[in-house]
Amino acid sequence: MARILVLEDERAINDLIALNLRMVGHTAEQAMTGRDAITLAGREPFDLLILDVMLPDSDGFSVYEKLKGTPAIFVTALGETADKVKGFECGADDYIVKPFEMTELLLRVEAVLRRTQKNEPHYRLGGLDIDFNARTVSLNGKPVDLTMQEYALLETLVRNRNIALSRQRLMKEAWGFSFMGESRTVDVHVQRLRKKLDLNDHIATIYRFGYRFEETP
Amino acid sequence: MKLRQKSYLLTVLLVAAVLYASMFFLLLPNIRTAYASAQARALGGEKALATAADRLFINIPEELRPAYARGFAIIDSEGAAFAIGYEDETWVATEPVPPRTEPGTMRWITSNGRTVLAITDSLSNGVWLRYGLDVTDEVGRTERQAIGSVLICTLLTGGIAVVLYVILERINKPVERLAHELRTPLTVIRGYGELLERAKLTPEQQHQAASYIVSESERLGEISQKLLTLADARKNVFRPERIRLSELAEHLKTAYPMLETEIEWDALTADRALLLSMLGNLIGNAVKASAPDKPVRMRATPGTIEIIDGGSGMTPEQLRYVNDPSRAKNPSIRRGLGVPLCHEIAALHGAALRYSSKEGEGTTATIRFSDFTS
Repeated sequence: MARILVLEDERAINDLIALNLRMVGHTAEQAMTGRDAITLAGREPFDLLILDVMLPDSDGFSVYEKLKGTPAIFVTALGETADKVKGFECGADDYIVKPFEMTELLLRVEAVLRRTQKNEPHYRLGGLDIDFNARTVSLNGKPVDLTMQEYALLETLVRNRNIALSRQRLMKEAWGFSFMGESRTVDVHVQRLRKKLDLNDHIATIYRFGYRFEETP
Repeated sequence: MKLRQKSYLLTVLLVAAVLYASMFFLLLPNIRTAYASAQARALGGEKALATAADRLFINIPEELRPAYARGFAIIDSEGAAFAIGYEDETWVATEPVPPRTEPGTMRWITSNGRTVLAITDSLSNGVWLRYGLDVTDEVGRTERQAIGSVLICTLLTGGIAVVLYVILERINKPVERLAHELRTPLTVIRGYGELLERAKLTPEQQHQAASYIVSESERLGEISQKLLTLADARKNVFRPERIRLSELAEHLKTAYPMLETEIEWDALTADRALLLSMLGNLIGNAVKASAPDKPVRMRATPGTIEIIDGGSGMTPEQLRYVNDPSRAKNPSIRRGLGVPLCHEIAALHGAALRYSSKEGEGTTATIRFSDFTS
């Protein structure tokens, strides 16, 4: 998975973002100041930067300028249009406004990584092999036929592994829309995925919430 | 320039445009009247002249008609122009009049900065009459009036805009600061809450998440406390009483054991709760800035209280902020409600809070009371 730099001077938020990134399998390096960030990037380049706009020693934009070429997502507490625009003007790939939902941030991270083709093309677990580029799945070397929705559901679960996703969220990601009351559809598809791919131990039902993909049952 | 400022500018421009447009429409009848009266005058003059010229020339055989007569000029009897001057309303046309297509044409001619209303007509004897009336002054006056009004309007709009801007800034600053202050704890509480709810965490991670939620909730509590104090200070809930600084210092030492005090000025008149809040804030900041083994000193001399930290000093930019939080340009140092609160409390006591600092040598916060009784 990707090597990601988290630059945020609030320890609690920095830890929170890093924890979430690690949860889904990324490598997260943490920096509290712009100087630290640049030193870390000098050691080994990053696939993605998550930058807080407001920092004690500089701002996220100038760090981004110095590490030009690395995709970046800006985190801003301001929610001010000016800062968003500035973020995009300087070439940022996305931004997110505090307070935000972590799954939202992970989705954006995933989207940017996909766009910049820094994401892992394969996911393997036991006999399961997902090819994200070809959008195909095989089990123990044999290709498995999945419908579009089943595949999208599986990809969403795997990309957010170890984090429970609500039925609404899964619906929105896999079907492109969400409507309340019809979340049984998700249940049916999850059942099929478990059966087809022998994932009974890995897709956990979270009572009254949704599902979670777990690498270690 | 920030977008907010851009949109602000746009609004002002829009308001100005609307104002000027309405001004223009209001003044339009005026300008129209001026032009109409000029036209009426010109028509009257032309008519009188035409009658006179008719009478003058009608009985004179064509070949005997004078080329010039008292400022009248016949350029060509057959074709083009008959220029005529009349007392003070003299106009000398040099350009040829176009061949006649219809009787009595009127047009505006502007040349050499003068505006002339020209009427072309033919007399009953077949000669052309061209009459010009200089209306520069008449029309010009109206136009000058219009420009003057628009100018006054511009100045007024500008003035109103500046006043509005200042008022809005004053209202927005504390609100913006508050919104920012609230967002970090909210993000943290929500984020760790989500993790606890949805993710499979190790016991250590669970503990860390829970303790972050607790500490950030405490921070929310602190913010609300500061806001209340600020609101009180704003509402002028101000109850001055005689206070002994040495007693206050003992109280502060229970919260900040590293505090060293030096009280040469003990009795003063102040609001106990507010003064305690201010000193607590200043000492708290000084403690945060100081190295763990360095003490924080509070020194009171007649008229001043100083809080001296053992930190590493501030950058000029930080110093500018703490001395005038409302003017901070760089949002990254515009943090917290503590310093603005201290300034408000100082102002309520007729005192001024001033920070002085040298990088590497620590920072001193000085509260100077302008009128005090020792």
